[in-house]
Amino acid sequence: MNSLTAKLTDIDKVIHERARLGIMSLLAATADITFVELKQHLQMTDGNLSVHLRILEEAGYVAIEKSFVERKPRTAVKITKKGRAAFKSYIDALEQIIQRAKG
Amino acid sequence: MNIREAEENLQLIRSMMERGTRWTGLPAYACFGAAACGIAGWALSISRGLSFANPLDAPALFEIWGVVAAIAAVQVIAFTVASAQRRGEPAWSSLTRGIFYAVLPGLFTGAVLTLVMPAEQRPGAWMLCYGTALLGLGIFAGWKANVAGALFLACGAITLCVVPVNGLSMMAASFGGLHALLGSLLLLKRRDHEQLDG
Repeated sequence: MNSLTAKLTDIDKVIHERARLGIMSLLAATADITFVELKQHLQMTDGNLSVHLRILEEAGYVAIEKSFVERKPRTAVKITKKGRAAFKSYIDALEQIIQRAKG
Repeated sequence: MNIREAEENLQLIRSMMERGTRWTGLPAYACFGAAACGIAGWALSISRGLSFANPLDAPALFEIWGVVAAIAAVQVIAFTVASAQRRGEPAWSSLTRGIFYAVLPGLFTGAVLTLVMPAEQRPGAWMLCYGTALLGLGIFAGWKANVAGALFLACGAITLCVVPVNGLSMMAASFGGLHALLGSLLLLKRRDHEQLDG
């Protein structure tokens, strides 16, 4: 590892994937958000978004709640405490890489 | 990870967090509808020879502008809900809840001031309170709502502070003209969303 790089192992790989980073960033900025809203913001397909949400849920970073509103299914997604802490650590790691590179 | 990738990821985080609190669900035609309501209120008041400067006209003006506000609000809500449904988005979401709480103080203050202020000062107070509510909306809807909100504040200040200004004319200019301006601004092309799929 030279001064401009950090080992990829230092970075949380669950969050590091671009689509999941987008999901975590949106969730960090909102109290809760529906599956439909996430899909609209991220321009992702249902299947792709579901796969990434499942990975984040298995890591304990997001909580998914399914309910019915006016007889229509509603899937709400929230960031968990563990997810927020991991997201903060990820941002800290990015900032460290940049600071280290700039001396 | 190299510095370039780190910077790109930080940029992605910034833009996504901003997008999460950005609302683009206000249809331009709802603003034109509100503008039409404002102009109709002005025309009706003028045709009946009413003036905010005459205390005897206060009940009639209160009725006209109360109905105008109610119709404008109902059509804005109806068009916004219909627009959200067309896009497959929930009309009542965490974002629209935030907007509701951001505009509520301005609208509530306007309603209370209507009850206690002399009739000739109501137009200016309404513009100031509505401008405040629009600036609350601007937190989520961006610069277009902020511009309209700031202009409403300017109109309200002029109406309250410059004595010879005609309240009815300013109502037409603000609730008619500024809503039309906001509708026109909303017609400007919105930046396409970044693709993250795949």
